[in-house]
Amino acid sequence: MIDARFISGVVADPVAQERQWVSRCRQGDEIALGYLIDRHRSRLIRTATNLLRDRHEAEDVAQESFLKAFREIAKLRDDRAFSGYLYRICVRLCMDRLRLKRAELVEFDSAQPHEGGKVENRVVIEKLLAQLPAELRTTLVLREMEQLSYEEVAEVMRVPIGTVRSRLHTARERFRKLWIEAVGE
Amino acid sequence: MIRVFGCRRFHRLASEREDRQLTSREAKFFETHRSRCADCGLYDTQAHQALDVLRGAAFTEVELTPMFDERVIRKFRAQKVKESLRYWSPALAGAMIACVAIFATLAMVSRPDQLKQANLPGGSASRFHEKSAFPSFELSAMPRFVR
Ligand SMILES: [Zn+2]
Repeated sequence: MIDARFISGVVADPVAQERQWVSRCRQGDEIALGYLIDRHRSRLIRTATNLLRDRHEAEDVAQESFLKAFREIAKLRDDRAFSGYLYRICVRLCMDRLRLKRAELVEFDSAQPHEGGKVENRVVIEKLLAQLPAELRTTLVLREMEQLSYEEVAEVMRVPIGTVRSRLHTARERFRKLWIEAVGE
Repeated sequence: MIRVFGCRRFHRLASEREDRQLTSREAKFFETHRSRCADCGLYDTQAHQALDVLRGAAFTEVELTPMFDERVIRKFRAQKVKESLRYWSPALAGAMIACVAIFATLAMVSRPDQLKQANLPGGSASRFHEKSAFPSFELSAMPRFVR
């Protein structure tokens, strides 16, 4: 049954609204499906782009995440958990892809220090991140680029907070070394 | 280069400083160590610089390709069809096998020339069947009162 608040167009609480969409989606309502896609797509694609460093691949993953989430929406016990559930699927799919990708070892020419332009930085960062294992890379990106808290990273990656802390420390340290090698200091 | 005791602790705190405020005791240790240990001072500068570049390389907004939503919904529909096919396929296969069996039987029955000769009427398969004589009707054999 559809909540009267939505029929009258007065939408008070986005959480309640999302819960409503999720329950309608479970009944196969494509309009609710559209609302959920519209609400979450930007965040999903942005996170996937930061993790994979490839916009087209990120869109593929976002699409795959939506399809997987909708397919398994019946298994979701709490409708309020949809957003976290969807985000977790997306991160996991990104990690699967990162594991499959072979880290390309790129040698930087230390005689020509890196100039530091924004686009160039992105290319360098992409190459450096490619040398980190998927777990470290994901932890680093979620914390530093997506600015998630330790608790959020732990929740998304399904690991204890202590693991997040130690992975983050290792990831930062490895990244620092790679960066120094790249800029030739 | 002089190595000062506590470099490992300094490295750990340098990382944690990015996420939380150090306690006054930790902060004091950090600053004292930094001023005494040249290696750790350089380490801290490099770590900061690397993280700044990493954060600066983050995508904050991404442009969507047109029709993203439509594509997802279309794929969702296709996925539903595929799933229902997968669900019903054993039943469909069973029904098809049954149909084939029925047609094969009907085809055999309707073409007796392809049956074994022995199974045809008058064939050897009927040798145990005693033929009963048909009653004949001869008017002359009837008793007179019936006629
Ligand atoms: Zn030191």
